[in-house]
Order: sequence, then structure tokens, then C-alpha cells
Amino acid sequence: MVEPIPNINLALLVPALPLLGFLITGLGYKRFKNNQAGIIASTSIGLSFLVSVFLFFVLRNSGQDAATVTLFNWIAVGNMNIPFAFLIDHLSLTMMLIITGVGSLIHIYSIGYMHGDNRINSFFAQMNLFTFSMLLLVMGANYLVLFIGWEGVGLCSYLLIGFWFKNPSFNYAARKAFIINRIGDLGFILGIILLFFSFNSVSFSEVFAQASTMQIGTPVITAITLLLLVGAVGKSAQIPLFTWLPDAMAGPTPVSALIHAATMVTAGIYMIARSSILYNLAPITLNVIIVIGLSTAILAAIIGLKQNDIKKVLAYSTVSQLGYMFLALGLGAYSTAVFHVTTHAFFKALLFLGAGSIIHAMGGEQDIRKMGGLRKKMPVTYWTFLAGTLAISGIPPFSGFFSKDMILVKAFEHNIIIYILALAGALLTCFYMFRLLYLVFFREQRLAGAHPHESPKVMTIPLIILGILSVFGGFLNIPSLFGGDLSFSNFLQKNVFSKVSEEISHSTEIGLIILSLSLLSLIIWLAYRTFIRKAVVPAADGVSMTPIARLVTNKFYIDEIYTTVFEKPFGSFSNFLFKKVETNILNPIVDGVGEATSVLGMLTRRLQRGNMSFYFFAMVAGILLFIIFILTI
Amino acid sequence: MSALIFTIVLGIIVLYLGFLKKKAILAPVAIAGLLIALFLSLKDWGLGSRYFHDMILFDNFSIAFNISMIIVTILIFLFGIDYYRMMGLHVAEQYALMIFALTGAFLMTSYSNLIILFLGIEILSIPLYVLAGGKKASFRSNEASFKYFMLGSFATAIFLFGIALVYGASATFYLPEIKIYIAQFNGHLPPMVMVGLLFILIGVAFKVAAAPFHFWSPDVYEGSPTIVTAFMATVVKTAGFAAFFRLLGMGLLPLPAPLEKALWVMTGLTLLVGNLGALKQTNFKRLLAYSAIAHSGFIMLAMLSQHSSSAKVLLYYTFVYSLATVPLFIIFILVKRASDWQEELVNFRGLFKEKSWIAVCMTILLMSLAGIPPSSGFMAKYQVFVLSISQGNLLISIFAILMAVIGIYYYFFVIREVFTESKQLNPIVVTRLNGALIIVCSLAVLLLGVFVWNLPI
Repeated sequence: MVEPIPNINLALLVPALPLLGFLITGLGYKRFKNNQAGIIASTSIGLSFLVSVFLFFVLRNSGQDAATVTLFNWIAVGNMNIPFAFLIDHLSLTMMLIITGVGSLIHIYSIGYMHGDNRINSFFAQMNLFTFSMLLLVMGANYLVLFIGWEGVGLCSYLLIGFWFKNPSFNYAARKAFIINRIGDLGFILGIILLFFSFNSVSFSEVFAQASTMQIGTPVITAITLLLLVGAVGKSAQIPLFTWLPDAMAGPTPVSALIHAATMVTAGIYMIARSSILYNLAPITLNVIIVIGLSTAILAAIIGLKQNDIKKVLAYSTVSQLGYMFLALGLGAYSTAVFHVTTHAFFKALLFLGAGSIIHAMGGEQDIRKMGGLRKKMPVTYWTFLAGTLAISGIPPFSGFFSKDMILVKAFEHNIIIYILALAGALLTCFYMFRLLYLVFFREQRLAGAHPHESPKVMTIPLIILGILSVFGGFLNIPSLFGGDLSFSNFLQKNVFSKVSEEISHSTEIGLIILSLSLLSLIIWLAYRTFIRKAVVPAADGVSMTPIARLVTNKFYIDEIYTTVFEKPFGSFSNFLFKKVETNILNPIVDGVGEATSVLGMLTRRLQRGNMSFYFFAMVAGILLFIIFILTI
Repeated sequence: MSALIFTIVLGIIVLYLGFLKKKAILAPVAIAGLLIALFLSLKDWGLGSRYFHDMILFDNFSIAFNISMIIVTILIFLFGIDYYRMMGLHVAEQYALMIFALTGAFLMTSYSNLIILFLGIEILSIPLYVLAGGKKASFRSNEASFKYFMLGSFATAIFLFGIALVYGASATFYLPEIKIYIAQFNGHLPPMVMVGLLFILIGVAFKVAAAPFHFWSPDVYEGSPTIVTAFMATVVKTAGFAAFFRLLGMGLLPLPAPLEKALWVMTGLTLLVGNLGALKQTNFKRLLAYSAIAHSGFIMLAMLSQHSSSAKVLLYYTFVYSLATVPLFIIFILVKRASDWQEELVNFRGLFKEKSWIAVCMTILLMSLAGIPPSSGFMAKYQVFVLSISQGNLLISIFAILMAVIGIYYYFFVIREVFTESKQLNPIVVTRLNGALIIVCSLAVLLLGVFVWNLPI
């Protein structure tokens, strides 16, 4: 038995504070005025962040790698014994710091962004509930607690996408996100059930201890990992379940930043990294992950080239970046994947908040064809957005460079074709991001009548902080090539069991970096030539296009294909069940049972007519029948 | 024993207070006396004292049931303060008769001899025949009294006949000896003993209104003065089941197979008649009468599932059932007064608008009777089902659960009326005491369900 770490029980505060914030803002949603709810919500997340930082040092000073904090014994039925417990280790701490750190910045930003919305109190209540669920997800010490958080974030995501529920298409988007996630959740829960049947436990420590003695390629492990993967694919918006994420942009922009960029969508990556021991035993699943991740990364990047809605561009870029994280997972480089989660949380939250700032300034306009020339009018937004763009494009020394470069190097080691494809995707990313940057901030303003202005400080300060993190976040994990010691990966290595070493030969690495850098410069120049020199503005909707351009603009018709192949047949099948089976078969049966009972009731009531001689008769008959009964039986 | 003697004296005191025309102090004296009886009962806890050559045994089982019945009687007397203020004749006699009936109930929980059981049943019943006719001017009340008396005497005759047959065979009234006598036949009893035992069981089954010996109860419940109906539905039923359980536990277990089967048939019939009969009732008192029959069926299920915890379940069930039933009768009276003495279910319409807190309490109480969590009625039913399933009585348990589902319909029918909008004829007047009673009972019904699942016997 290891020594209990002093103060580790403070970990309970980390989810408790957002929960408290949710209860206060949720129950008092009618009472709070102006920014009160926002301040309460931000404070709760901020305090939670401070506790997480404190826990980080507590764990580091204790010399232990992990600690379990049990809240209560949750389910004890038969041989199933599941405590409600939290696991505090390096992986969960990393996620906690991201969630509460980036989360509190986004909460503060929302005070400005959501100012004046008449449901602002509900907004903050739901954001706090989301943060609470997300913390449960990453802190749970077993798959079941993780699953509560998993479902909780799904619910909050649904609520917040449909936050402006008076718009039917936003409601549709919310439903779509929820239903597609359910498909993933089904696989996930089946995976957990299979896990329980195989290991007789769902707790991480017990499952992993048993799994570490198993053979590589055990079929049941392959099945479990594939089922869990279905859940991760849904939550992290990978092929084929990615179509909900672009539509999820219907929610307020801070929601997109927090849920659909920085935290919730990375839950799938967290879960797989957490289960690294299981995935290492299933090479088939890892190959599936590589295929899914790589194809998602490229497909989403291609679609991103032709999007004209600023948030849609960022949404596809998120899908694409999540694809890179999956690629890293599939290559067995779990720490690298989590590192990319971290840097992505910084720069993508920054980009979304920057987009929010722009939308705010443009009075709700999201079409980049109508923007332009915002560089001078919104300097803070411009500079931070530029930092985010450079980071996501992988320009050194910005944070995205380190994480993406590590993924590319891993791909190179694994297979040169994967490397080439991944690099191509990175180049596409760079192109559509600079396309976005140039169209929004350069040349002249194209929308007449708008008077863009810089956003208030409550919005720009989070932007600046995230900008700094996007620039320097990569220094957490400097490879030895640049004299670093991969401190982030080593930090995680205690709890996440990467299959491949995080090191490669320096000469190869230099070669790869030079190659990608020169290609990136070429791409940036190409984008510059197209959108600044030639001042190309993407064509308006409805103008005739080449077939390929039309295919890309319409997102490869994937939504339409899903509608035709799944939604319509399913819809007509449920219509059949409703109109034929239920109306004609089930309803008469159910009604019949009720009717029959009623009739029996009437008959029983008739027996009692107040006639005493009948009562005597019935009693005597009863007595006689009982006598015959007991004497003959 | 001291509680029993004291209660008899209390009855006489209350009766004589009537001659002094001190109507106002009747209820306080009766209640204070019952509190003393409660205290005296508590003092006997764990002693297991025997009296009259072992004819009476005050073990923990009987003391627990006695206490439960004293508490319920106190609740009914508290209700009586307001009830008898409105309808005035012969109040002292009515209190005294209920106290005498209570002493009969004490005997029914503590006998170990069939003669004492007979005495107890008669001491309980004869005051009730009078009480049922308590409204002298009311035709229905007189009818109830007459029917109860006729059918009751018939049942008594059967019961006494049964005792005689058993005595004729075994030459004893003492239950433990009867048990030894039965055991020697190894399940194959001679017809005389078998029929004798059946008659004894039928006599007790009549008291708890088990089908097909339930016919008296809807008519008597409806016709009797409401406070008497409340007394019959709670105290009398509890006493009947305590007697029934003691009869089985002390004398007849393990039951000979034919008798056990007969009792199972009775249980099934009771569940069926109670729930189906309640389904289409329009009169609230009749509805509660059928509901009482239905509850008898559930309690019999617990009783026949022989297990060491059966007694606990029985006590819990009868107590929380009484706790929910008494305030329902209080609410019924309040509504009846406000709607020109109508007793129909439709008179509950508009209750929520008129007095929303009463409507909420009533919902809790009805939900407890229906067995909806987290009320204690749910815990009671749950325990019954767990008990009977664990004893392997799967089919009858499924049947009982189905019947409980039917039960939900008619309880919620009343709840629906309560929340239907309509104007009450007159405003509902609630005295502070009645209001407190309703609220305290409703809270107890909720809290017992959440916190107390295990009563000490």
C-alpha cells in the first residue's frame, strides 16, 4: 500500500467548484443581473484551476505517479463493485489544467461576448455544468465515471449548440450533434460492458494490471478497443461521424472554443491515451486509427479550402487537427497526441475567440467574403489571430510546430506514404488558414455600412494570454534536437505507455523540418499571391464552378449521402412502425387490456349490491368450496 | 399486562366522564390515558411476561403491534376532537367503545390460547357493531351496523365451530400444544382437524376482510361514521393481521399443504377483488374499503412467505398503511363538509386550487398507498415482494405486482380529481389540529420511506 499523499483529497474541489457554480447560477438564473452570473461562473472555474495547479505540485513533490481519491462506494451489486473515485495522475492533471485554464479564459471572454443576451445566466450555468462533466470525464478512476462525464459533456454540448433555440436550424444542428454522438456512445458503452465481462472490473488500475499480462492481438482486446474507438470517433468527430462538428458552430462562439475545439472533442483522444495499454495489445485497432485519422485530417483540410464561413473554416480545421491526433494515437505515440491536444487547445481556442471577436465587431456577420481590412481596426485581434494561424500552420517556434512536427516525424518512421499524406494535409491547413487570415484582415473592407471596432478588454485579455500560450506552449516539449529533453512527454510517460520511442535521429529530423518549412513558405507565398496580390475573393454562392470545386464546396455531399442512405430509410421504417405496427397492432392490445380490466372492475362491483342474503350465500359457498378444496387436494 | 388493565380502566373513566357532561375534556383525557398506556407497554419490552397459565404472552411482537395501534388510535382521537365537535351525541360512549375495542385488539396480539383469541375478537367486534351504528338518525349507519353484526356473528359462529372441532381432536386450546399435535401427523391431518383449522382461519380472514369473506367491508365502511371507518381500516385491520400472524407462527406453521394452498387461493382472490372492485368506485369511502381489501392481499402475501423477517414487514406495512389512511379520512371529512355532505370522488375537484397544501399532502398519501417511491408505501410493498420472491413464491408475486399496477390507476384517479380545476361549493375550513395531523402524517409517510426500513421486533 502506497502512502496517501497529503492534501490530495483537495482534488474533490476541482469538479466540485464548477458544480457549485452551476448550482448557484442555475438555481438563481432569474435573479442575477448583468455580469453577476458570468463572474460567479468564471470565479468557480478560476478557483478550480488554482486547485489543479496546487495538485500538480502536490503530486510532483510526493514522488508518486498517481493517486486515487475515492468519494464513495457507488455500485456494489453481486461481484460488481464500482467506487466513485478520481484518478489523479500526470495525464489527468494535464487535461485538468487545460480544461480549467483555457476554460476560465473562455468564461471570462464570454462575459464580454454574451453581454446583453437575455439568457446569459443560463448560458453560464450550462458552461459550468459542462466544465464539471468534462472534469468528471478526465478525472474518473474507472470507465463508468468517465462515461458519466462523457454523457454529461454530450448533453451540455447539445444544450449549448442549441442555445439560441428559437432558430430551427440551430435546433437541428443540436439534435444532429446529439444523435451522431449517440451512435458513438452505443459503441462506447458496449465496449465498457465487454470490458467488464472480460476483466470483471471497469477500474483503470485493475483492468490495466490484468491486461499487461495478456498476449498482443488477443481477439477480445481487439473487440474492446474497436468498440471504445467507435465512441472516440463520435466524440472526436472523425470519419465517418464527423459531420456534426461543423454544424455545431451554431452555438455561441465561446462554446465552439471551449467544447468544440479545446476540450470535449479531445475526450476521445484522452480516452484512447488513457487506455494505451489496451491499444498496444491491438495492432489491428491501431492501424484502423491511423487510417481514420489520416483520412479525416486530409478530407477535412480539403473541405476547409472552400468554406466561406469563418467558423466553418475553423471547424473543419478542428476536425483535421483531431485527425492528426488520431494519427499520432494510431502510431502509438500517445504522449505526442496529448501534446498536440494541449497546443491545439491553446491555438484553436485562440482562433475561435479571435473569430468571435471579429463576429462581434462585424455585428454577427460570419462570411469572410464580406470582411477584409480588419487589421488596422482590430489590432489585438489581428496580432493574436496571426499567432494562432502561425501556430496551427506549424511555423517554428510557435507551439503547433513542435507538436505537429513530432507527429510527422513519427509518421516518417512508420511509413513514408503516411508521412507524405500527413505533410500534404499540413500544407493544406497552412493554405486555408492564411486564406482566412488574408481575407479577413487585409485589403479593404468589403461590407459597406459596418463599423468594426476592437473588442472590450474582457475579451482581448484572454486573447492575449492565449496568444502567449500559442507562441510559447511548444516549449513544454522541446525535442533533444533543439537542446530540450521532451519534458512533457516524459511527464506523461509514467501513465501513458507509448509504443514508440519519442526520439529519432537528429539528421533525419533536420531534413524533415527543412523540407516542411520550405514547402510551408511556398504555400504561404501562394496564398499571399492569390488573396493579396490578385485580391481574389471567393465566388458568391450559386456561381457556376468546376465539378471538383463544386464537390469540395458541397463537402463531398457527405451530409446528403447520410441523409439518403441512413436518415430516409430509417425515417420511413419508424413511420412504418408508428403508423402500422403501433396504431394497428400495439395500441389495440394495450387499450384492450385496459378495457378488459375496466369491465372486470364493473363486474366485481356488481357483485356487491348491498343484498345481505347474497353475501351469506357467497360466504357459505366460499366455505364449502374451501372445505372441498382442502379435503380433496 | 398493566397497559391492558389500564386501558380498560381508562375506558370506564371516559364512559363516566360522559355522565358529567364534560365533553371538552373527553378527548384530552382519552389521549393522555393512551399515552400512559403507551408508556406502560414500553416498560414491558423484552420481558416476555406470561399470564393466566400461559394463556396470554406479552412478547415483543405483541408489544410492538400494541404500540403501533395505540399511536394510530391517538391520531384518530386527535381527529375526533374536531369530528365530534360537529356531530355531538353520545361522544363519551363512542370514545369509550373505541378504547374497549382497543383492549380486544391487545388480546388479539398477545394470546397464546384460542379462547383468548376468541375473547379478543369478540371484545373488539361488539363495540364495533355499536360504533358502526353511531349515527342513530342515519339509515346507512343503521344498515351498516346491522350488516356488520349479522355477518360478524356468522363468522364468529364458524370460528367457534372451528375451535370446537380442533379441541375435539386435540383436547387443547393452547397453541404450542396444537402445534405439537399437528406435527405428529406429518402433514396428513384427519378431516376433522383440517376442517377445524380451516374454520379458525376463515374466522380470522373475515376480520381482515379477505375474499371471499370481504362482503361486509364496503357496505360497513361506507355506512359507518367516518371516524369509525378510519378506526376499522387501521386499528382493527392491524389487530386482525397480528392475530392471523400469531395463529400461523405459534400454532400452525409449517402449514399443512392443503391449508397453505387454500390460503394462497384466498390471497389471490383478495388481491383480485380488492383491486378490481376499487377500479370503478365513485364513492371515496367505498374506494378506501376496496383499497383496504387490496392491502389485505399484499399483507397476506408477506404473512404466508414464512421468513424470520415476516413479522417486521407485517408491522411496517400495517403501520405505514394506517399512517396514510387516517389523514385521508380527515381530508375526506373536510371536503365532505365543504361540498354539502357529498361523498363522491368528484367532490375532490378544485381541492388543489382551494387548499394546495392539502392537495399536496393528499397526493403524497395516495402515492404511498399506491406504492410509489420514495414513500413508505413503496418500501412496504417492496419489502413484501422481496420477501415473497425470496421465498420462491414467484407466480403469486408477479400476480401481486400486476395488481399493484392496477392499484395505481384508481389512486391516481383520485389525484387527478384533486388537481382538476373546479369551484368548491364552500370554502374548506381546517382546524389547526387537523392541519397539523395531515402534515405530520404526510411527512412521516415520506420520511419513514426514506430512513426507516427496519422496525425492531
